[in-house]
Amino acid sequence: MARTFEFHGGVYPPERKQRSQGPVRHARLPDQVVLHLDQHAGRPALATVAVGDSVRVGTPIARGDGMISATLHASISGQVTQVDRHTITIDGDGVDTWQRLTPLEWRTESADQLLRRLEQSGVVGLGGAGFPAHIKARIGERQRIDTLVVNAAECEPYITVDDLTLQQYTSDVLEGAQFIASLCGAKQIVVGIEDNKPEAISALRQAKAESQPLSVTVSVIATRYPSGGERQLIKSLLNRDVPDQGLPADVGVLCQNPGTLLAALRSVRDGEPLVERLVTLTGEAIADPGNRWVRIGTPMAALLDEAGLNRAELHQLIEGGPMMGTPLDDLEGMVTKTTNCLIAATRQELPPAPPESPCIRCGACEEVCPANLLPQQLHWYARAQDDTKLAHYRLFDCIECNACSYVCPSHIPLVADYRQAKTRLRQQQLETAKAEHAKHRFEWRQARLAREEAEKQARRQARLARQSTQQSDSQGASPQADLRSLRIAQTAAKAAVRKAEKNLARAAQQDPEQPNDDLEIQLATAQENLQAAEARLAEAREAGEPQETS
Amino acid sequence: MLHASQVDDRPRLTKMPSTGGIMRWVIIATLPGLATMTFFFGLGVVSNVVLAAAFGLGLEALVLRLRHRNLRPLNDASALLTGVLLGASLPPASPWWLIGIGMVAAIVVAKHLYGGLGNNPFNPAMVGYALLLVSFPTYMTLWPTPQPLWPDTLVSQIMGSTSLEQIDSLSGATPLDAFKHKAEEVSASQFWANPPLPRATLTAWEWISAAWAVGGAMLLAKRLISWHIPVAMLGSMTAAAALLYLFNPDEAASLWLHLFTGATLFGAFFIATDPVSAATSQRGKLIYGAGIGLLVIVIRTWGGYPDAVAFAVLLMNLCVPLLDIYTVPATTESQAATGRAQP
Repeated sequence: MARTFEFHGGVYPPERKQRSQGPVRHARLPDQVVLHLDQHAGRPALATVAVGDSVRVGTPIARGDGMISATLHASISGQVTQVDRHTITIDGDGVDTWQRLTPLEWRTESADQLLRRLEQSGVVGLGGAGFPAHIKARIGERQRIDTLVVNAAECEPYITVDDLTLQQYTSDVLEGAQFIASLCGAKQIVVGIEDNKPEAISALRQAKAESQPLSVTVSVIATRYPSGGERQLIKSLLNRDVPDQGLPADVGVLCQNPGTLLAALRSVRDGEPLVERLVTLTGEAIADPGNRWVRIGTPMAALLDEAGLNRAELHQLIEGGPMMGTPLDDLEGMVTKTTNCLIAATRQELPPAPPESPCIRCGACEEVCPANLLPQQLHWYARAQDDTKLAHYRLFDCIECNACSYVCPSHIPLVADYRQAKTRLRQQQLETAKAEHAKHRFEWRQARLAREEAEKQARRQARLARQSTQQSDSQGASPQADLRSLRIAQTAAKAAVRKAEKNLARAAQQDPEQPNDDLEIQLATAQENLQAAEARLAEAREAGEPQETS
Repeated sequence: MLHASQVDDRPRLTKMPSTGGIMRWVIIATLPGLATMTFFFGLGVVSNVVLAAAFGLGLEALVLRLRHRNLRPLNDASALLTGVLLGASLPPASPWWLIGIGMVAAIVVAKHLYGGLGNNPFNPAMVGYALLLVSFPTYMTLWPTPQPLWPDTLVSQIMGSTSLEQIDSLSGATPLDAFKHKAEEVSASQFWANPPLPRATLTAWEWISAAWAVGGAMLLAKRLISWHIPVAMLGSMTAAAALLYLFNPDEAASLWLHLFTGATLFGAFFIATDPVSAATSQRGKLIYGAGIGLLVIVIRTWGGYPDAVAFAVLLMNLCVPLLDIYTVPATTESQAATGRAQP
C-alpha cells in the first residue's frame, strides 16, 4: 500500500452511503429535456439550433463561447421546442436515435485531434466545478505535469457516484486515465480513494495490473472530510503543498475524477459526446435509491418520482452532498453535467438548523479547517466588512468545504458569510475592472477592424498577383526586410495569444465561478492581431514571391 | 444541511454540544472544586455561588430587556457560568451587596456594554473580581480558617450585615497572602519552619487545587478546552518560579506554593481558558497562556497582590488583539515563491 500523508483539520460526518450502493441502472428516457446553456465553468454556450429543428442524441445544439466554455449536445432525439437565452428545450420522439462521432484510437491519434474531440464532445469535470476537460488537459503545454491524480476520494456523505463508477467501469476509468495522462505528459497515475470503498479498491487493485503504459498506484487514504479537496488529496497522496492561490499544476499534478475520465474515454473510443451522466439518488424520502445513468437535462421531478419519492416526507432536496451541495427550493430543476447527487431528505434526517447564537471563539472551526485558516476571525471581519483584515486572514484561501459550519456550536453559517464577503469583494473588483474592460473592448474592436483591413488588403494583393503573373511580371515588390519584420510580428502575435490563453486558463481554473470576460476579450484581441499579422504576412509573400523564391 | 449537533450516527465522536451545552458542561466541571471548597470552608461557598448565579441571570435578563433583545440568550448559560466562577473566587459567605457589585461589573459593564456574549474583550468574572479586590480589599482578602460547614454566618450574609469583626474572628490569610506579608527579616525557610497559619489551611488549599485540576481534566477529556492555554500557563509559571527559586531560595516562594495553594489551577483551567477573551489561534493561545503564567509570578514576587491570576488574565486579555494579528497560521510556504497577490 502506498504511503499517505496527513492534511490539517477535517471532520467525520456520518457517511450514509449504504443506501445507494445497489448496481447502476438506467433512468427512464425523459419525454422532455431542458438543457442549460451555462452548465460548465466559464461563459455560457451559444445556441446553434432553432425551434423546430430535429435533433438526434449527440447532435450539437450549442457551441462554446470563448476559450473557457463547452459544447452542448442534444441528450434525447426529437425536436427543439424552445430556445431562449438560458435554455434549450427538446421534446423527445421516444426513438432514441444517436449521432456519434467517428471513433478515434487515443494511442495513435495526434494530441490536437484528441483535444479537439474532447472539446467537440463537451466533456467537462463531472466532480462539481464543470471545468472543460480539453482546457485542463492542455495544461501540459504550459507546465510540466508528472502525475495524474484520479480523485476518487468522494469524501462527501451520501454520494456514491465515483464509488459505483469504479466498481462497474474499473478498466474503462483506468484507460481514460491513461489517455488523459498521455495527453498532458504525466509519468504516473495515482488513484486516491477513501478506505470506506472496499469493493472499488479491490476492483482497482485487480485492474491496475493490466493498465498500460503508465504505472497505476492505488492509494487508500483514511476516511476524513474533505479528503477529496484537490489540495488535501494532493497533500495526502504525494505530500506536496499546492501554493495558496496556486493550482495543482504548480506542483506538477493534474486532478480528474473517475466519471470525467470515463466520459473522456467514451468521447474518443466510442465517439459518444457527453449526453448522460451517473447521478446518485438517495435520502430517506426515496423508496428506490441508487445510481442511475441520467440524460443531461432530465427534469429532477420525473427522475425522483421514478425512484419513488415520497413528497409528503420530503423536507429538503439537496443537489450535491450535504456538506457543500446546494439546497433546492423546489423540484423544478434539471439535471446538469455537474449534478452528481440528489438527496431527498426527511425532516428527521436533516433537521433544520437551530437558531444562531454569538461566536464564543471556542476554536472548534479552526481545529477542523483544512485550509488552516482562522474561521472565527474571518467570521468577525466578514460581518464587519473589514476587507483589509479579510485579506490578512486569507479569505480567498477558503475552499468552502463547510467543515467549520458543521462543527460550530453556535450554529453560525460561516461559509455562507464567507461567500457573501467574497461576492462583495469580487463586485468591488469588477467595478474597478470595468474601465479596464472598456479599454480592452475598444482595443479588441480596433484589432478586429485592423484584421479585416489586412485581410482585404491581402485578398486584393492576391488578385493583383494573379493578374500580374498572367500579364508578365511588372509589379513592384516589398523588400526582403519588410517580410522579415512581418514574420517577427506574426511570432510575437502568436506568443501574445498563448500568453492570453494561459492567463485565462489559469484564472478560470483557480476560480471557476468567477466571470473572466475581460480575459476572454484580451484573448480575442490577441487572436485578431494574430490573424491580421498572418494576413499581412500572406500579402507580403504574395507580393514578394519573386524575391523569396529567387 | 448537515450539522454535527444533529447527527447521532457518527461513528467516532459523541454528539457535539451547542454553545449552551459547552457552558453547562463547564459548570458541571466546577463541581469537584466547589464541593471541595464547601467541604473545607463551609456552606458559605455554596451560598456565594448561588447568589452570584442568581445575580448573573437576573442582570443578564435585565440588560437584554434594556437592549430590546429577546431573552433566548439566557439559555446559553454564559451568565450562569460567570456567576459560578465569580462566586467561587470570593471568600465564602461574602455579603450579598459585594457579590451584587461584582456581578454588575461582570455582566453589565464587562459583558453587555461591549456587545454581549462573544464581544467582550475582558473576562467578565475577572473584571468583577478585580473591581472588588481594589475597592473592598478587606472583604476580599480574609478567608475563613477551614472549619467544615459554617452555617451561622449565612444569616449575616443574607442580611448583608457580615461585619469585618465577625469575619476577622473566624478568618486567616490564605497561604500566599501569609507568605507575601511575612516580615522582611524572616527568610523563606524560617517562615516554613514555623508557619503563621494552621496546617489545616495548607491542606485545604492543596485539596481544593487538586479538585480544580480534576475539573480541568474533565474539560480536556470532553475536548471543551484545548490543552494549549493551561499547559503554557502552568509551564511558564513553573519555569519562572524555578528560576527565581534557584537564584534566591531563601526569599522566593517555592514552586509548590505557587501552584497548589492559590488560584493557579482554578485560573489555568477555568479562567484563562475562556475562549471569548483569550487568543484564538493555537500559537496565540500558547503565547497567551505563557504570558499569564509569567505575569502571575511577576505580580506575586514584586507586585502588591499575593495572588495575581485575575490581574494577569486581564493584562493578557489586553494583548489578545495584537496576538491574534501576529499569529495567523502560516500560508503554504510556496506562496511566497510564486509571489502572486491575493485578489
